[in-house]
Amino acid sequence: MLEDQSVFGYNRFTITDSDLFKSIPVQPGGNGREIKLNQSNQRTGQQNRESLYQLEVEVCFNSYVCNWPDYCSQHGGCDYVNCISSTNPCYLVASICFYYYYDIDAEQWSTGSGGGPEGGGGGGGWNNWDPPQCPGPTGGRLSQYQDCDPGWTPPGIIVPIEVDPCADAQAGATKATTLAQNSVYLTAKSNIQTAASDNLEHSVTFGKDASENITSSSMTTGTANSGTINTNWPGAFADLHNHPGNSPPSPGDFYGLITVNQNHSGYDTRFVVTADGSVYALLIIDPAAATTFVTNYPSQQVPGYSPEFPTAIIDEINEMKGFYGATDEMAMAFILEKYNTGVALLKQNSNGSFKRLRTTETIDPNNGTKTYTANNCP
Amino acid sequence: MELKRTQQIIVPNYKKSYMKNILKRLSCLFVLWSTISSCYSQQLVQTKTDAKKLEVNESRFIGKPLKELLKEIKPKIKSAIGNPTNVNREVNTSITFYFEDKASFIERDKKGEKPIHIEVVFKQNFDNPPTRELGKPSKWTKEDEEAYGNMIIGYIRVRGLD
Repeated sequence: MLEDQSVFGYNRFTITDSDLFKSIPVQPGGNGREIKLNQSNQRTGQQNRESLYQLEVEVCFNSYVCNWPDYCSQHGGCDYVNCISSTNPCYLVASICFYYYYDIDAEQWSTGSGGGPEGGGGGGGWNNWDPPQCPGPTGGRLSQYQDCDPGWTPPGIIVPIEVDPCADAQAGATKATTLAQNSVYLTAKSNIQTAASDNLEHSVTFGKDASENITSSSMTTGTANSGTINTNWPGAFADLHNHPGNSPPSPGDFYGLITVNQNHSGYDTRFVVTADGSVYALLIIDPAAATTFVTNYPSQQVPGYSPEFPTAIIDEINEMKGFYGATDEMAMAFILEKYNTGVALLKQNSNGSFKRLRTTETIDPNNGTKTYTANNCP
Repeated sequence: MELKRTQQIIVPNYKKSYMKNILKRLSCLFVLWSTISSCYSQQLVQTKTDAKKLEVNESRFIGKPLKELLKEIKPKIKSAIGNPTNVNREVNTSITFYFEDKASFIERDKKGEKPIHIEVVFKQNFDNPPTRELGKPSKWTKEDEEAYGNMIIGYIRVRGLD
């Protein structure tokens, strides 16, 4: 904990092991247990040492109220390290704290008012606890107690600050919706759907001229295994192609868009119209995350065949669809978000608006069964 | 030419029947040998863990129909996931075979286990793809075997542990 403080600057830690500080009774309504390291430079009054430092350790039981219970229940409950959003819905209403002092030089707890922070069995103090045999480094800072975990966690590591995934893609979705109402787009889409009767892929690239008017390239026809997209169209920012079947954007579409975006930063959207008239869009929402993803999970491709995700992701998608009943679009949306690809999957609704598709994985705590449900952005 | 005809005519009858008998016996022996050898020939995949041999011996199967590969697998295939009716050129047409049914797969998944599975990617056939969709939840049936048996194998990947 001291190292986390000195290296990372963390001063607040969640207590994950209920045995820690168990001698302090849980206070009524105190749903957030935390440790605060308040002061590390306090000189003590002892005279037989030249320089001594004490650390004030504050163990608090906090009571929070959540303005948005539905949101909080999906984000770890209302605690100061949980349920974080741009407008934190949790606020502190009461805090009962106990103070201890740790002598850093002597490595001893003060025997002052509380007699030291006891934990472990029998009330004999936590130093009497017989530690488990842990191979190598401790297992990490998990939210549930395990023998080889420290029993507490700094918030900056275990709980990433969540960004609202719908807010993330909203600007791009609005831009896609606006483009989809433009006559240039509508003409291009109509031409592609007409040409699609040959069961090949056809594509058009959209750009902007000097006056910011939408332009479109001429339509190109795909080759045996893929579409050919004109990425050099002046002011290019998006493209549209058809899929002869009804499948959503493919791994090839996904990797291809990231590659284009790396070379043309404003080129961030790939529309796909399927045989049944559904329209999807892949949207780059975080170019840095997209680059990291393709570095860590490069596409794999056997010559003569289409590009694919790495095999572990292929299996994950197959299993979601085959054993857990997810659809193609649910599986794709889930993978894009789970692996922080920096790319969102959107779909046009009946009103003509593009909305981000999201899929939630739920694991039943009783039997461990996974369930996937569509949790699309409103 | 006259001489040849004469030679054929003068071949004694007993010699002709002797040759016929020899030929008959040889063909019987050949049929018997083929039957016995086909009955007792070892399938490549005797156990689930042998599945990796399919990938090692991939060249034997590339360009061959799926039924040729299935013949070489002794353990029962219980599930299959794939897109045999695919017409999208951007996506590979494949079927992945599991020796687990849905219930046993889910049980193993809960433990974090990844059972052995065989991914077969097919050469694309957009002109005449199968029309039968793979069943859900993914049960592999005799009808599936017949419907997809003639799909041509492109490559094979085997993953997982048992």
